[in-house]
Amino acid sequence: MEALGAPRKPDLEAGGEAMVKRTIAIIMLAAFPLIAGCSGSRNLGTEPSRPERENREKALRHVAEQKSGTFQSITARLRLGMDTAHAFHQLDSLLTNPSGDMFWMYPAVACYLDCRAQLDAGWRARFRNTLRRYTPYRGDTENHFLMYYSTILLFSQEWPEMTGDEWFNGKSSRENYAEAEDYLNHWIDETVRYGTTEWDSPRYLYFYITPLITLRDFTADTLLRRRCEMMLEYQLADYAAEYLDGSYCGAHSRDGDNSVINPRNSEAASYGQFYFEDSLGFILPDLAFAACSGFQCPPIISAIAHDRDTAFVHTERKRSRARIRFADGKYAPAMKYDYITPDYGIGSIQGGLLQPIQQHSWSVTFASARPNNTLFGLHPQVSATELGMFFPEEPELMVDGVSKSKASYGSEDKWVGGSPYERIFQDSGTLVAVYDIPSSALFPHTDLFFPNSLDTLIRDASGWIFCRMEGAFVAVRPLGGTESGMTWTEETGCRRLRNRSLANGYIVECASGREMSFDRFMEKLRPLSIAVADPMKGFTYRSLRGTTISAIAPRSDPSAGSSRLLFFSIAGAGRNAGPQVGSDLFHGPNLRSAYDSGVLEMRCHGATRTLDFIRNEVRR
Amino acid sequence: MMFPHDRNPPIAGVLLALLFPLLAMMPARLAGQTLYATVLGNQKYVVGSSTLHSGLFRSSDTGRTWEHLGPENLKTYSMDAIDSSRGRILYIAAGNGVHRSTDFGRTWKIITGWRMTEVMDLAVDQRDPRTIYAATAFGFWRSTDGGTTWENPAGLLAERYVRAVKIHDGEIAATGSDTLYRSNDRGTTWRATARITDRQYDTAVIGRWRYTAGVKGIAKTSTDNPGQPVDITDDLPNRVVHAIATVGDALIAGTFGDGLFRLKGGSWKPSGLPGSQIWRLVVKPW
Repeated sequence: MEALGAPRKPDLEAGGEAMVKRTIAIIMLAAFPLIAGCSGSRNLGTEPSRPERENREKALRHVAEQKSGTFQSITARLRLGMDTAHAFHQLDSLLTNPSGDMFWMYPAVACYLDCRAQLDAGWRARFRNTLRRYTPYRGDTENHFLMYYSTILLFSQEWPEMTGDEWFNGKSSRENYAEAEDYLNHWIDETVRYGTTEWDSPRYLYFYITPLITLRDFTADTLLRRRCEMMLEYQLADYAAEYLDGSYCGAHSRDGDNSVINPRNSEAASYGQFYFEDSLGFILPDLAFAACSGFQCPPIISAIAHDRDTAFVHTERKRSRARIRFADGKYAPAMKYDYITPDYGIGSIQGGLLQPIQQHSWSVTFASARPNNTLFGLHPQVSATELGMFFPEEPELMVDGVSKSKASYGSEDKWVGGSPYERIFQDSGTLVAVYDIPSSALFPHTDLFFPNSLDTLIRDASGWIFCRMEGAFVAVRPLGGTESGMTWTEETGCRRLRNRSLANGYIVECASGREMSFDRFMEKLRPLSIAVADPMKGFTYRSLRGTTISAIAPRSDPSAGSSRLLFFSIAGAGRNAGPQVGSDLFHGPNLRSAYDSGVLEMRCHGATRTLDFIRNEVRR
Repeated sequence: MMFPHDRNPPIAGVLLALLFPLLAMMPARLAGQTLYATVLGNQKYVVGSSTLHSGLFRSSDTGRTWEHLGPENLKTYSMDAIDSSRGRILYIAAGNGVHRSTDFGRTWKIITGWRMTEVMDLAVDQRDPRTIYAATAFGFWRSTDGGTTWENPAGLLAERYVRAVKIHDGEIAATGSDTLYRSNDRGTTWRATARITDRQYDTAVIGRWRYTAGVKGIAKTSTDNPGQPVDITDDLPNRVVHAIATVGDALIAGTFGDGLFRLKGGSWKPSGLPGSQIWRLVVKPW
């Protein structure tokens, strides 16, 4: 069993001689390699490599130089002793007028603990008093609760004697600590046994990392600290398995308007660069906290992120976000399927609505440094029912409300969102998506995103649309509708193919230049083209790799509710729509985790690492 | 030796000493009606992006002036109170859980844990005030010790969306997304009794008139002869009315995003909390 780091403790106890001690701290920072200053007196286990130390220093300096009035930038400047007067002035503002709910909380506690040696008794009291004055909303997602309870736990631990009168929620530190500890352990157990509900988000993964780093660094309870560090590794391993040259491949529970079309600019990519690449290609503010931490990403995880010598299938089982109404059961399984090669990755879920607003159901990701290195499609679903399924307020009042914070939600041109009318099937590099859109849908069309950064886009007479970006080839064959019902639009960053047929879909085929030439790719696909007027009536397709995929027409099934169900079969074996995956939480060459086991095994190049959340130990 | 007239003063003194802090905390107005408004948020609110002036508000002058109680920035759905305490013991149903005050709203404590979230309504059993029922987006909960501990009875509403809960003659009625449920055993078992097909948010009665609030404004019908409803919200700036209440002979409308309005002389006049998303108006008899 591997020993994990002891909690970080500040080098100095600030008090009456705070100024003197802060000066000493600054001198120490200047006198020693930066990371020593950041890590305090904790047990690091292994020393970071020189390039890693340099990266952390650069990251901290970069965030410090932004001089923004955020806890991140303030932390960086206080740790570096840079422009501290201005930093304290900004800190005063943040503590005088707190806002942002749990997004205010998690960097506040990280700043407090990372800069404890730089904060005198007066500043510490300011933090403490804010806990009485400001009532943050706990939120309604996994990341919200993690941010909220990690902060509650660490501040309760810091001031265990605080009474209910001193906390915004009226609970004593003892009560708050117990509740936060119970929630965090519950969240860890549920996630590692049954799958996360806010899975693989290129945007929101960012908001898991700092709370976990802070818990890992500062939780006094040995067991909880160990579990939080294991959970941090778990999140990064989950990311690494679908990482391709800076991009997060496949389907995502929640993506952003920007990152969905430009994956290398996602918030998660900042950590991908930092932990998997030892690079600072994309520095976002929270890296300041990662730079202050002694946490090192285990080499096997970064190796998994780069283990792309051969193509492989990787599957995952996650859960939908908790559905509060308009659905059968609280959670639905989210079955993920990825086919990842050195040149591209293609991944999907089974379709349907598993997350509101920001779901990204499938994508091709090109292993390219070009902007907009992705290709995908969707039905732009907008509905009060969708929002009512996941949020408690009045469904008919929420569309306008959501559009205020997620501006694209109500747009017919949006590029994020799932649809109850979508069914997706994938077998290695072949993907079939079928849409059965009712005429009552607000936007009864589907859109396909073809990036402008493609080397080639050929609208072939066979019906295929052939695309190439560097060493990756993609072909798309629209199904359903007529030529006149399909329109191409040139837009900033992409060409949009819109299909206005209510019953439509497409077949997507991918191949690598290592398998065949682009000409050969086109030659092989042209004879495979099929004309399908109404995919909901069923069709059979023999794929590029010779697999027979049949889409079986649905029976009249009123109980299906929002959409009729299309069944798929592969090589004659029938099965429900959706990727053919086992029940494992992770199943692939690098990650394995059986459902309900609480154990994640990592393998790469002969090395292994096991996160055992039942025994709460890490095995190598 | 104790003389007869010496016996009572110490007891009275003790009582006064005990009561004085409570009396000092009591709002000036004890008689008549108190109106409570719960504010979910405001038009500019987005989770995590801005602070809002929300939570519980109290008016002792039929909605002319308002006093904020408890935490600001609180996503508040509803409230209830132990009526016999005359405003001393109050409960808030909020996104963060159930909040309780035992000093007329001066201080508050969240009395639920992480498992109870998005609490949308509360009902205190006034015949047994230690019993409280809670409607949450994730199921029905109850407490039999004044809110100190809570249980989530297994069964029909254990994990089902419940948006409102009421007590009438010992029977509990719970409103789901499209179904009305009833329980005769304090929420242990439930039966579905009706489908909900309309989208009314609230109703109020003044004299022989019934007022129904919804997404298209307020409709007025006669309680004697319902007939065709009449829309009375032509001049209301925001026709989405989520809460409605009568205080004395005044009709108060809580809009979803533009605060409160009072019907006066046949037209609507602002009545406070501008910009607020009013979720519920509750009238209490003290």
